[in-house]
Amino acid sequence: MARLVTLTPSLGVAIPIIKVVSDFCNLRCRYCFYNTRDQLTRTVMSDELLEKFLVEYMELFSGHLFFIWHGGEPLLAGLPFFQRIPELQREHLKEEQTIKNVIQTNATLIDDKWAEFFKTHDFKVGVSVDGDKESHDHFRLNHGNGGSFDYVMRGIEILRKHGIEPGIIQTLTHDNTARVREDFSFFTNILGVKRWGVNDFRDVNAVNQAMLGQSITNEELTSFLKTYIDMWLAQDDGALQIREVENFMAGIVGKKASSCTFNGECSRYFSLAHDGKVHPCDRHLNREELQFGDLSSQSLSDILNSPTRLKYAENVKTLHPDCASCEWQQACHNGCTAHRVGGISGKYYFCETRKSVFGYLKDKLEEYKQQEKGGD
Amino acid sequence: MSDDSARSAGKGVIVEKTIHTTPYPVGGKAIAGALARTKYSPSNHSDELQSIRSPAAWQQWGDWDNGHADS
Repeated sequence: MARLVTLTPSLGVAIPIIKVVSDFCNLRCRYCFYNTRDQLTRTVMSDELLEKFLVEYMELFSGHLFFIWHGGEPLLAGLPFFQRIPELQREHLKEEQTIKNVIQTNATLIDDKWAEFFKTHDFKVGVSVDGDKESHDHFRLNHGNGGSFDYVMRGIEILRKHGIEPGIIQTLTHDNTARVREDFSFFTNILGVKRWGVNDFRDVNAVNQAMLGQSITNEELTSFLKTYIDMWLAQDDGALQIREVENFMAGIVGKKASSCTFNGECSRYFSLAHDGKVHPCDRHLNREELQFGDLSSQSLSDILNSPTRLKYAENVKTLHPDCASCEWQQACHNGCTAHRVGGISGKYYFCETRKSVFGYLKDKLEEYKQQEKGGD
Repeated sequence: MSDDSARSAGKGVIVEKTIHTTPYPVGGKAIAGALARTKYSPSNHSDELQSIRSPAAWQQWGDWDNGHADS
């Protein structure tokens, strides 16, 4: 089998986001960027495609390999589907490879069997929770328009019973920016989580017409993030990790942030759909012009070396002209490509937020250093 | 920092202890924790990639964070 030789060296190991069940989901979150697509048809990735992918991927890359299992709701693929994954990974594992599996779920379907599986095979579990019951149930609904909060909490409880502490992804919408303090307190003081990430809802391409009023503005996101920083400082827990705060902090001290939306390494990811179609990211699934290829009829090597992917990687690295004079250029990298106005080469919509929050946290860091210095 | 002084008073000893406390910087523990977690990150100006880290770094960062925003 051909080795991956023609990619530019800086692309490194590609990280797959594998959508195992089309857009099929047991929830109907009102802001979901899949809800203009078919969420009713249950189509699971075939065993043949799963094996083809794992065999070719593990042949192409060595070192530390991340597999991100995603959906729709991935648990709808069923436990037998997932049980094949570690079997195939073990079968094709090479000496120089280590594997980390990550799954992002709404947690409503988790039971003891799933939790046992995740624990046995060391799957890291991410759960989507938007905040307290009021915030969460405002958008994250089931098919009957009922809130999903209680089911999610049950899922988290089962995970914890099996010794799994999930990471949390909070989606921030216009309506929920008003509940920033309640939601922060819920996460830290009631749910007792030590680490979570915040995804800002911004429908730049107007995919979901019904939710245009929920796209957050620069003012809203700036205010939200500054409040989170204040509350994080007031909580003063060295183990409390809010991903976005960590990303800003890393940039301020001249280090690379962990997230693709900050560190400019977006093009290292690719999204594999249940039917074999490969895109840069699940956030770009509606952009057919960005499709890299189709694994059902092509080799993974050909897809990852395709002109579309190499062009995409170049566009990711090419910053907007306004970035040239920005002191935060190396810490921001023009943000998420899905939130660039007018296309991949456009300017990051939340540019003003980034500048403002970098400055705000930098001042806090300076205050801390001054106080620390004064105490010596 | 502390400054202790003692004086005799009759048969006993009264210790006057003056403690000069420095208020711990507001948010100091939170900031120190975040700074410590940047330990394994390469410089923003290097070509070294961030997304794939060593297993040791997975532990340091909290191994839930795979670098992708949606998971």
